[in-house]
Amino acid sequence: MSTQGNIHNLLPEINEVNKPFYDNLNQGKLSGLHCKRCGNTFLPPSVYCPRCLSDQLEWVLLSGEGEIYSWVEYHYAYHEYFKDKLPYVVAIVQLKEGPRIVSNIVDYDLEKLKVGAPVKAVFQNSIVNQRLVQFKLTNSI
Amino acid sequence: MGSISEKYCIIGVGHTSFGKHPGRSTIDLNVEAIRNAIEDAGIDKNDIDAVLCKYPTSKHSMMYSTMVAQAIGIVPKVTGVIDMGGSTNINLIQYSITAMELGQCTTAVISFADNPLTGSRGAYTHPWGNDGGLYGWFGTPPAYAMIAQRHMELYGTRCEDLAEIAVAAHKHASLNPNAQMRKTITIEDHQNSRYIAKPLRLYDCCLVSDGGAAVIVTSVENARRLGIKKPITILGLGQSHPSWELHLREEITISGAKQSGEMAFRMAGVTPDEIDVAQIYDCFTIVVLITIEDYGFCKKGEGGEFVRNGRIQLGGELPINTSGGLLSETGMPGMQLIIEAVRQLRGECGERQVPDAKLALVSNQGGIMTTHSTMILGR
Repeated sequence: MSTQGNIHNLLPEINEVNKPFYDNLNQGKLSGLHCKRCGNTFLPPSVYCPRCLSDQLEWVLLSGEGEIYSWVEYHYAYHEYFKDKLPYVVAIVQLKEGPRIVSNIVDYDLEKLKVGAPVKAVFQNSIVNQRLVQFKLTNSI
Repeated sequence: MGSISEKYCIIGVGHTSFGKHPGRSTIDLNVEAIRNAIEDAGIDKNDIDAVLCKYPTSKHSMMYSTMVAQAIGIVPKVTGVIDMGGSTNINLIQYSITAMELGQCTTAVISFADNPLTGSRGAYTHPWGNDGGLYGWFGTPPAYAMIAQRHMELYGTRCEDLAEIAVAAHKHASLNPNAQMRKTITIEDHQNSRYIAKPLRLYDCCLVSDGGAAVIVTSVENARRLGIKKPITILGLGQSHPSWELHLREEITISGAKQSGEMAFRMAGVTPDEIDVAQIYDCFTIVVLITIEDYGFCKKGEGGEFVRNGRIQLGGELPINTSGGLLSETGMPGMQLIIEAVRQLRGECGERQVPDAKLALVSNQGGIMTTHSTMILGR
């Protein structure tokens, strides 16, 4: 029942607003937008700060440190590419600087996957030419 | 403005069969549902002057409600398509009442039809956000699994608690001749069913169905004029819509049910302990558990305990989803829950009737607990 097979369908749409985020990922760096007016640090990339609606924004590097907010283990592949990767884990990661992102926990020990478990970013995988930011449990690095 | 509570009512309900309708258009399914609702109300087609629709999830098309109006041969004074996903049906009832208060129309039909079983299911399998595809973040069941996992870890909710919800739904559907799946299941059947996205198993997920359903709304005064025998009164309405992307929501284990429920209970002037029967949107078992917490039937985190030991089954303290809900009657999003509430209050439910039901609660919700609406009905 996988609906898609083309690997290019997995790639994000790149535009002038989000391009720095994906360029930084390709350098092995995680970044977010920082609002110069209200101090909010946020993702996903946007022209306006969702808190104060200012457009006075700057890119800042993030530490890649955070904790698991919640997680799910996939037992069904919605895309051909993930068929041989089952089971895999998708998690919402609460980053130390404030934003939450959706990513994977890789090389995980199922027993140690817990809400609140500390994680750290790794940049070891790519799809086509786009590097990913994934996470490992901090105590497993 | 004076209270709208008790001023409007549902006078007709109708639907197609639920299951496969290969080759039939959604317009055709809408017309069949509306025809049955008109017949149920016992009114003339030309009494209807407003046509409101939820567009088919499987295939968006512009100004869809005008096509439905055309197909039933009505030139409506008021029409439109509102999209709040699965919360739309109750929201359209709210909109119809607004138009009636403005004096723009007197009697509205609200309808929905879709054919994801024999047509396209693409709407339920896409990647989330701009780059969810990179991380395999696809699909509706895994997004609800993300919510379930956090609820389990924060509150000690058990997989067996979710099973109780599925067991009740399937038991109720076995007493409902309209249900798509009439097989009863046990807690063990649930526990042995395969993981779709851990922690959710096959029996935590709703059915996929083709079909159509419609309700007719008018004022209590007009219902009297039309000679309606058992109008079901709309006592309370509410809505609330947390966020588009799941991870950007402040707390994913709290749904729009909290604010929406408060709004509806306040308008109706009743409390959760007065409700005789509840039809709670159950696209996934975890949604029922969170919704009853947020409505105040129990405290946050105590939903798991609340549903244990048959408490939500017929004969229990709070019978929930007496038709089988989305889990076992039909996967169609929400209108059939309204219809079941109306039938319970009319006393038409035969083997699955809640004795002397006077107050019914209905919830509709859409997306990944993205939207929510609530309606309280009485007789």
